[in-house]
Amino acid sequence: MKRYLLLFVAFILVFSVVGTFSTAKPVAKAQDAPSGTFLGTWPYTLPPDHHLNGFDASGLDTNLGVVYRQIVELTPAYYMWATDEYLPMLATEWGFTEDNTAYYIKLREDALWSDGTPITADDVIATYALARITNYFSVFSGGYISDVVKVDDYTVNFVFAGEPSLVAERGILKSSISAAASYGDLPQRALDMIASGAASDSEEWAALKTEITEFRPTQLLASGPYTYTLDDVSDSYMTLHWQPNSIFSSSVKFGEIRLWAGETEATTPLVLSGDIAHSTNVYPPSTQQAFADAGIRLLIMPRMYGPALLFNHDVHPFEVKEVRQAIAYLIDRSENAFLTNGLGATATVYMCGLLDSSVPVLMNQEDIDKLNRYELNRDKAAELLESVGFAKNSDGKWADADGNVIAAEYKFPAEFADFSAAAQNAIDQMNEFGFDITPVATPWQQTAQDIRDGNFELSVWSWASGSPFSSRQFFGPIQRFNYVGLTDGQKGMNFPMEFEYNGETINLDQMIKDASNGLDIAVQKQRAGQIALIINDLMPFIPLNVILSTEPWNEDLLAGGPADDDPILQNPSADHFIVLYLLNGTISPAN
Amino acid sequence: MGFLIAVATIPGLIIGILCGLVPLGIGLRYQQLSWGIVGLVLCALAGFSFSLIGGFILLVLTTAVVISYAFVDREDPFTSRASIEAVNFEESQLEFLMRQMAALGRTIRQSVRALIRNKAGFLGFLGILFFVGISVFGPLFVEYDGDTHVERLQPGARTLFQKPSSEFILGLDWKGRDIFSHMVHGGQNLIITSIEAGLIATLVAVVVGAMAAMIGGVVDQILSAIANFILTIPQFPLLLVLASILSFSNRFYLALLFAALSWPALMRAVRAQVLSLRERDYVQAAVALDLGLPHIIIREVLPNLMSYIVVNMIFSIRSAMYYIVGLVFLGLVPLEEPDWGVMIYVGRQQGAIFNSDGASMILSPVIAIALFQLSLILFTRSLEEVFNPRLRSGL
Amino acid sequence: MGVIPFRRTDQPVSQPSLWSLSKKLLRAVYRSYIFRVTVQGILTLWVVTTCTFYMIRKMPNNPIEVKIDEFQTKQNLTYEEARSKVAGLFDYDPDAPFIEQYTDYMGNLVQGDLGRSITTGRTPVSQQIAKYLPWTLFAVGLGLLISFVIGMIVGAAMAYWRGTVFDNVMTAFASISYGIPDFVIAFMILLIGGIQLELFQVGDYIGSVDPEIKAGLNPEYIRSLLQHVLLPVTTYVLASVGGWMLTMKSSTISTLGEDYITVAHARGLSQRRILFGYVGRNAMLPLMTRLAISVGFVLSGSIIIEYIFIYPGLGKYLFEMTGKRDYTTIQGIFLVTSAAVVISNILADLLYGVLDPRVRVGSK
Repeated sequence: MKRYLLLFVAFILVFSVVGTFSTAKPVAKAQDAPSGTFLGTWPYTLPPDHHLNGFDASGLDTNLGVVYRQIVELTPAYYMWATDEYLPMLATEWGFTEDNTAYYIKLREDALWSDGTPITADDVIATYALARITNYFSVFSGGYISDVVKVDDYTVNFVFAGEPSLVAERGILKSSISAAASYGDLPQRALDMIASGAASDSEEWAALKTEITEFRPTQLLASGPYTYTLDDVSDSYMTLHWQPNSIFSSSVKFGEIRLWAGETEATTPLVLSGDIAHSTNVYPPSTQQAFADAGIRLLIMPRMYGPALLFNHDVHPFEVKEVRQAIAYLIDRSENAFLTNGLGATATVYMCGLLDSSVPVLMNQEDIDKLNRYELNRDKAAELLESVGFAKNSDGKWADADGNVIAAEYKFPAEFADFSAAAQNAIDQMNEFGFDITPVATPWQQTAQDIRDGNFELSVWSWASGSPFSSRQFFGPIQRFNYVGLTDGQKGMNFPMEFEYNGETINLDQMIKDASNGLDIAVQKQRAGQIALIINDLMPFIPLNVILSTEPWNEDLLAGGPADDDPILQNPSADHFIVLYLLNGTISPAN
Repeated sequence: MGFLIAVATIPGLIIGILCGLVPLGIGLRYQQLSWGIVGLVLCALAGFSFSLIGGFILLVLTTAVVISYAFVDREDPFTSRASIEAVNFEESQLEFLMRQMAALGRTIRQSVRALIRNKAGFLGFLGILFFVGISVFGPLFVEYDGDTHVERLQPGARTLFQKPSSEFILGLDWKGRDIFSHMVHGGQNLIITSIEAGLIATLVAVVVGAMAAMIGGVVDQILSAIANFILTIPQFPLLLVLASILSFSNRFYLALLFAALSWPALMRAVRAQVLSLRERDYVQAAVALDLGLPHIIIREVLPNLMSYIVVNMIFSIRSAMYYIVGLVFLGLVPLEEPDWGVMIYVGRQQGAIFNSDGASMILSPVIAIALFQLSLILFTRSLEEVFNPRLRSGL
Repeated sequence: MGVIPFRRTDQPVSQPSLWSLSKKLLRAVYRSYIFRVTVQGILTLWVVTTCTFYMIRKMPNNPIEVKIDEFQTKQNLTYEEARSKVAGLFDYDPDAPFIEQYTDYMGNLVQGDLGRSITTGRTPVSQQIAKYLPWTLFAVGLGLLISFVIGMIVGAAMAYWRGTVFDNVMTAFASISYGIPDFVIAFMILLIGGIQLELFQVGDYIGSVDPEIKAGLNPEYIRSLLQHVLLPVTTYVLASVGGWMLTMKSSTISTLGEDYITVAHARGLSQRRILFGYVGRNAMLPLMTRLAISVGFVLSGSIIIEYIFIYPGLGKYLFEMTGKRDYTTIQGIFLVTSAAVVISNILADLLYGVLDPRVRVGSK
């Protein structure tokens, strides 16, 4: 018995060694598909969890992500951040109707689905009907659009519920259009349900919603030049295959897109070994250095968020404005940025809740000039603390008149390399200045929960977001992690959003929500300035820095990558440059 | 803090010297000056490193050795070859104490001899001494580098990590701090907590396992059921839930937590072993003589399991080292630096493993832990000889 | 299950009645080891399931918020966009009373239904487990088998040639490999073997099998299977073989000191016979319990190894699902794992009785 066991083991070992010398595998190609494989990565799920439904969060949005979904299911247009303009994809024309009651898009008439049928207004109507029942698009959940109307075979009107909105414009132009044919009779039933005037909280509505989200399309009809079936999903990578019927089929240079599974740690060796040519994962600075040392180029583009130091305003002394301002003065944000993500992070300049790159676009110059930039000034910090009754005690710690030192626990997510680094450095700097801060690392899910529950003293989470609108960028911790954005009596930071300011009673929450309403840019700028100045003065949270994406780009495998000064690199990953450059054939296999 | 404190302190040194005066005095009294001086030095060192506990233990041990030398020629009434009538069984309490001490001293001398005779074991012993020495005395010579040093950034580098160099012999970590200073300062807490954790876990496992096997019946069933339950319950969610309601600032509780969750595996193995030993003639004989459970377990059963137990204790220590760090990152304890385990975790998170500049941050503590364990395992060779006299003759 | 009503008065007293027969049978069944152990096992499983049910739902955060965060950070969506994609789509009601959730779950469980996953569009949990379990059994099982066998052989040899160069070298190897965390070993293999020395193309060794090769019993497929399992198994063996070696060695040393070994030598038995027939067999006894426990834990996989080598095992899946707080899936995987631990413990007890006749399991 033992002998057989040994033999078996020996057999396996020998076999594995033989396996080591395996040769390259044959690759099947379609007749006139371009040659070459684009080697990317995306953390998709495996069947049976993997499915092709575009209206369920665990479907296409999880499995292709916002980047690769756009090359399978095209969007009407593609946004260029540098020039604030939309480039045509599926649509040829778009804009507000003359009376500004609706937004229209007009589709290209030569566009086909991968099965050869034309892409028409009916597909748009179907997509929005399904999204409306499932409340899946933000134009519906945000209450911007009340109706979607077919004008002719290629034109659709989106009727505004209230005033016309630029936020809704982006939502419409940026959402992928799905093929009605993939969803059987569901689109028609969704339209019937909407036409019947049923309430969205009615039972029939909920039943149809469940039916839509549980629907599993058998095939993915693509408007882009690539598509895949569930058979193309393996545990190590999934493969998107070229298909001939797309408007971009003739311009793309790759026959297939191979997306490796795995996240940061698992993909690092694959990037180093050349199995992955481009990765959208987030790598810590030390790994970036290793890529650079291996001759892999690093592309830098905005990620549009960064770590912020969050205060619990129920914890003394963080409810005191001067204390928060002092902390803003005493932290060296350049050092903090460098430790957060090496060269892939920049210190916050304007300290107002808007991203520094957006401030000149979204605000008037006179307001910008009024912003306090909280440049590193420890004397000023000391002065502010002294002004509210703190003094350094004999141990060199800041204490109030009763001798209580400024002490707190700083909770941060253990797994997030960048946020935890930002927090640890902020703690070091505050302790050096004379506070008594204890670091507590917790699993990120718990950190988030603790912040919502108000079960923290200091913490770290993200501020700002990848939107060109001030209302979305301001939507930071003070709404998401504050009582105004929470339910079930959770208090979060518990920063009061309604208060007296310069003699006026203001509601900051409402001001932020309304900041991007309407079409008048001048008014929006003025609103943004007002909000920015309030946040800048009160410092309800401290925006420590802004993180940049540093994506490896292997030029031995890929040609045509953007130059460092290419304006398209100002796009964040929600409008990733590879979407445009893959489709229009700028990127090609290197020889 | 747990039951071990290892920091070199001046009061500790004074305590140690005071303790050392006892063996020295007794050595002077019985003309064993050289052994008295050895006792003084050892007591002083132990007191210096482990304060009162170390000083006191060494006080007892060295005094015993000194007495054993002094007492060796005295007539021991119990081993005397004189006729039973000629021997005076009356002895004062002092004499009784002296005789016991002398016996202890002889055992110690034998053990030390066994320890030195096995070269591998002695090497292990030296290795352990080395790590203890570094942790205890290192901080006196190497200053802890806890501040971020952005000014150490090399031109063109993207991180503060640096390869080992003549200035920083183990390189710099992600905050530009000297890894060598972290190695010197970061072992102490981890080693002590892990040893505590490993000891407690092993102790519980052995006691419970032996009891379950020897008593049998309902007791066995209940104890086994508890062990099975703990073995079966998934620990990760348990710890997550614990972490969300508890926070320990005292590392000794971590040791206890580790022990509470990790004893069952060893307990089952010990129980199985003892079940087998229980049927042996000498154990059956002891049972028949009604020598009492503690006697049977300690005298008859355990010596036969010693090497197995000791090796498993070392495994427990290793597991505890990584386990405790895991608990830090579940939020059960504040993240304390310097600490070898924290270095490994943070290093991995900061991508140190993929970068030759940063690899030292992970590899230094990993190698130190591996070597520390190698020392422990080598040391078991000597322990085996000490505890299992049958092996001394070799096979 | 129905209960047959017995009416004693209807039965003639003189004959051995059905009642007394069944009573005897029942007593025999109750006394039988298997029956008792099975009842105990089921009881343990029930208690553990209840505890985990409670704990899993008490884990901080919930599936919805976690998914929103994932969409925000990975896909760069704004909070509002992410929220509209996630809210209300999961089959999970955080407000449902705990007891109700529990009774629902247990009710389904008794009927063999593990429920449906919360976060992945309602996939049945049993399907998920069926998908990932075989890979873990293959990779971790193979790794465990190899490291156990190597550990037994080398450990026994170390004990037998105690104090020789072989012993010293192996001790050093064992304790160092045991002291290095498995993730360090895994990355070192990839970085040194795959990237610095370029011994192999990393991508060809990641995952479970080459997706271009049709599944089936053809040599190409089997070779691909073994090729992809090579790195995880090597890592697993390197990380765990040291433990087996050292335990086996110390166990063998205890055995070598036994009287019957001395007697066997005195009887002039061959070395080989003594080693295999006497020493090896007895020294393996305490390791069998350890092995049983390990076998139980094979099911939950080796999380970090599967994660690094993108191996589609249950451990990696459990890790991902715990991160997503997919309560039903986590619960299902834990149930299967716990059952495996319980069963392998029972088997270990039985096996122990077989291997060591001195211990009469269930005699007391």
